[in-house]
Amino acid sequence: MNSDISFFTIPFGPCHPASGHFHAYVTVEGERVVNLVPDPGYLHRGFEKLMEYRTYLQNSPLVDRICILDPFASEMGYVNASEKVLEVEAPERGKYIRTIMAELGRILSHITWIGITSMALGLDSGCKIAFGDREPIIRILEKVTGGRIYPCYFLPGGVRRDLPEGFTGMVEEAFTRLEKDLEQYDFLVFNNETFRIRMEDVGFLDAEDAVRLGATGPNLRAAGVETDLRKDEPYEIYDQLDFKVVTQDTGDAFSRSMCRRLEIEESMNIIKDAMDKIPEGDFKNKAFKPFSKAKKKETYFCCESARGEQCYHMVGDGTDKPYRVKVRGPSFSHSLDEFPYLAKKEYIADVPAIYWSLDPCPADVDR
Amino acid sequence: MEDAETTTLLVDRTLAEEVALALKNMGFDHFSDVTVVDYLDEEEFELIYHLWSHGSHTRLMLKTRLPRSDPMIKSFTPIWRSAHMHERECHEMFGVDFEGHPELTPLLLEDWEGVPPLRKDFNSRQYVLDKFYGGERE
Repeated sequence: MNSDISFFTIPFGPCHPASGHFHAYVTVEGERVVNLVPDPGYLHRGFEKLMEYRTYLQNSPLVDRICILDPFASEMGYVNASEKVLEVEAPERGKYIRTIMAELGRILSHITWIGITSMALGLDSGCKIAFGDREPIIRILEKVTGGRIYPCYFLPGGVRRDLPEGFTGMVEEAFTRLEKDLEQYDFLVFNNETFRIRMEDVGFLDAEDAVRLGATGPNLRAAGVETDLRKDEPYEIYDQLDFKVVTQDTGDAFSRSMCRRLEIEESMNIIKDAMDKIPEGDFKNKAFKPFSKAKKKETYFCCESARGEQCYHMVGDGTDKPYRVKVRGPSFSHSLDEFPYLAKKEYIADVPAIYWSLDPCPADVDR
Repeated sequence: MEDAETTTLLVDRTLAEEVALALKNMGFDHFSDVTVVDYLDEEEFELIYHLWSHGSHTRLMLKTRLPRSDPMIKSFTPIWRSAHMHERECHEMFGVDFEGHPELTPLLLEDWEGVPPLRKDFNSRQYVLDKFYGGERE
């Protein structure tokens, strides 16, 4: 122990308004962070073990809980992995619906991120507008799935029910409001003097370090690496859609923020494109039954969630329950590897800004 | 177990480190995950390393088998820095030892004693009954 009074350790979280349920020990020397030791586990619910006791159908609502902010990505990874071990294929319309909903989930997650980050940096008006913008999208979710936060909507072999009447109108209405509010975010948040001072030139993560530390998703794209599983390893119907991969080049906290801001618009384009192309037909494959048995095979499936690479390793053993499921949450590397690396040598006041620029979700770190 | 879609390499545990180094040099720069599957009947653990190449957009599974009585393997943390936390999790949940790992301390669980909880011989339902319901429940 150093007896110097300027050295001391402060807990960051697990009840800090700017950390969620993530906990880290921050050791400072005066104002500078000298060490940051993450201590996750406050949201550990043991999903991987729970899934071994449940059938493929029962697991579908369970995976929603892995990350509250982006439930469709968890479901997307889960249903695709289980479709491979169950050997059922979703019909074309089912895949379109899943893609549309997953992109709505991405927009929802990014908007929430704008809200929470604004709040963490003291820009309360950005927070209020962002949480207001969530509402029309959550209403769409409620209308389509019946649930506002936990949709339980994707099943192996398609989706639980078809898109309701008036879906297109609701999406158009929500997007009209969102497009207007994106200009407000630019004015109130992204071009705001306070936001820029807090975010620019803070927490540099260059491409080499980002890859070394296992960064994926917007955090890696902000460092200039053009990578997106929707393009690189297309799943669902992403290969039929036309979209750009948003990248930035500086790799600081501000460029990570801008990456997410621009992805909202890109996701809106994907949804509009998919709604134009969506075919008629079945929305689920009736070959999948509640007690369908899996084949003896294993698979590793990754999808691009709002935070990065969300993967499922699934082992089927010929019964109606998976033998083993391993979930790779995208925030695992963001919180436990990149965050301690970036926070070192920075000012203690910059720690929340760095933390939120990485957009980790403590729930998918702990699982 | 078969998986037709991802290239899979099955190696002996003594060669795993050399193969991993060669794969790193071939461009598999992203260490996505490491999974342990507990095959209780065969008295073996299967370790599955999931790798991805950002350059060539290829995915690869590197598999190796460890006996349950001596689950020990060289750590990949010196090769891929991002393996650090994944290996810590595997050590905690399955009791697999990673030789040369800088810090094999508990990650997610707190004050856990007994069988590592993701092993197949740990029955979580029985644990809940014993711990919270005094061994029986109507």
